[in-house]
Amino acid sequence: MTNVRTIAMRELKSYFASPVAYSVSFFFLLILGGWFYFITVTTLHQATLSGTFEVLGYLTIPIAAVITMHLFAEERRSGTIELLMTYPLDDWQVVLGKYTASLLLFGFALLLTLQYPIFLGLFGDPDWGKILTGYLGAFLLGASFLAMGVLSSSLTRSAIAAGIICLLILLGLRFLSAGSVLGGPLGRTFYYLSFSGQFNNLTNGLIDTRDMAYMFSFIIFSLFTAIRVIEINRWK
Amino acid sequence: MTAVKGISFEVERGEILGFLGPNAAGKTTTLRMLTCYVPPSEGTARIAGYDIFYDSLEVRKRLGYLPENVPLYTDMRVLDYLDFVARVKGIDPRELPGAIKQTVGQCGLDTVKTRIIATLSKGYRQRVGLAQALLGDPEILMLDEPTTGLDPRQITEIRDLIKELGMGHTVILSTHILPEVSMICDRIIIINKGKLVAADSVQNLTKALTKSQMTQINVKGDPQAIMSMLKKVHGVLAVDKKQEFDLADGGNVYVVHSAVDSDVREDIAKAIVEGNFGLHEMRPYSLSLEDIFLMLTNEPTNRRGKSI
Repeated sequence: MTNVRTIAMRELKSYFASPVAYSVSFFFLLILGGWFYFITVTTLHQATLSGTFEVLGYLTIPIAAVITMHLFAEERRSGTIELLMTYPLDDWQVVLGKYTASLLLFGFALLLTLQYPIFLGLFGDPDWGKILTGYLGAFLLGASFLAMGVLSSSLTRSAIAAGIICLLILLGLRFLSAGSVLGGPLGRTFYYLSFSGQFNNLTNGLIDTRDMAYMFSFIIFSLFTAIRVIEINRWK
Repeated sequence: MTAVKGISFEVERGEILGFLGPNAAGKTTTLRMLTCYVPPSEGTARIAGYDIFYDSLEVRKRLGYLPENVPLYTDMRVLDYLDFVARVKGIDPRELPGAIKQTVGQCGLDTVKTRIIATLSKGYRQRVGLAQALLGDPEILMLDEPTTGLDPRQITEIRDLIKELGMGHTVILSTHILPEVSMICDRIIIINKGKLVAADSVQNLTKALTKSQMTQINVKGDPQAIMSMLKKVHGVLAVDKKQEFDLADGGNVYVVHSAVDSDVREDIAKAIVEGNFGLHEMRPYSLSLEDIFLMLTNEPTNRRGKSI
């Protein structure tokens, strides 16, 4: 675990030493804050974060791609992976360390948005339960997307390509929800796979073990595959 | 594509082994296998008794590696970077500041330790690379062309450092710079086109490849006459003219071959004087590492190699 922490700390420092952490937080707050102020507060006059969470659901896709795209791709491009792989570290420690760093940065950006519920609490009477589960949903959604980002980054030596792969996969998954118009079991499957159902349940205050199971297995699948890809890359 | 095939060698504890070969001979690939970065598709190696495939983690704990192009995290400061390396190498956090301080001193990084690696010159990056390999005092150091791209003074400094390290560590040094090897290595291994062609000390290789005693002379006079005269001297097997044109002093350099352990110098000198030629210089000639390297890596096409 010490090794995971060491890797995570290095990545986190590098996030804050580069423009990544700041620009990600900036756009996160700009878009969410804009929505919160102009739509929720000024237009709808509602003490709720439902709309903001919905925007956050979409915003998490490019954010996850940007945060994770360099994690392995950049190491492979610059060759630093050679040293990293010859240190006494297990592959899973490297993957988990990098994933943890991306999760911490995402968590940091999410923390900055806590100002919105605080404002709501000051000037209105929001449903705190829903806000709490909404944040849980946002965090789990981010955790799932970041795991897919880590996997994408392990696939190529170009950070841009990794970002695009991640973006395409996550957008594809998101738009699977459109398949729900088919109705029946197929429609329900599409809707279920798209993360929309899970996220909507949570932002509506519903904690369902099925949703948790899907998100956690998505995370584990992505990270496990990333570990395998790193292993395979040694053989090439 | 197979980069190396059937290479087999041993390194003794505390030895500095020179790992030689032309460009693209498979040096880097071999080092990558030994450092557990690339698994071999066939065969194996043991480092400090541990198998590079099955006990990769144990091997890597005992290893300091400096890859050829010195890949460093260029966005980090030198001390932060070394701190990171020391931690992933599993150095006890309490011993960490001491270990880093020692390595910084050893590699002459004191003046740049707070700088960002991206702003460092090539020479200093090389030292940071060396420092990360040295951290944790590994039993075995593998250095892949550690002096490429350095200026002559930096090269000397790095070489001295490697020599110093050789006292307490086993060092495998890959290079294609030959004087470097004769200066610091106890033993050399030469590979060519992915195959092992020699593994011994420089002295032993010289002995093995020297098929005749050689004397180099510089004589003024008609080359044709000199050569035919020299060939008549008792004990002389062959005579080679070393260059096409007369030297500035009007002489020509010849290499006289005679049977191993014979001494024909006095007879040659007498013959030259009696023939009224001008003897400018005479000295024993032995194979240089360059000669050995060229003979071993270039055998079929090298005329010079054949003639010796």
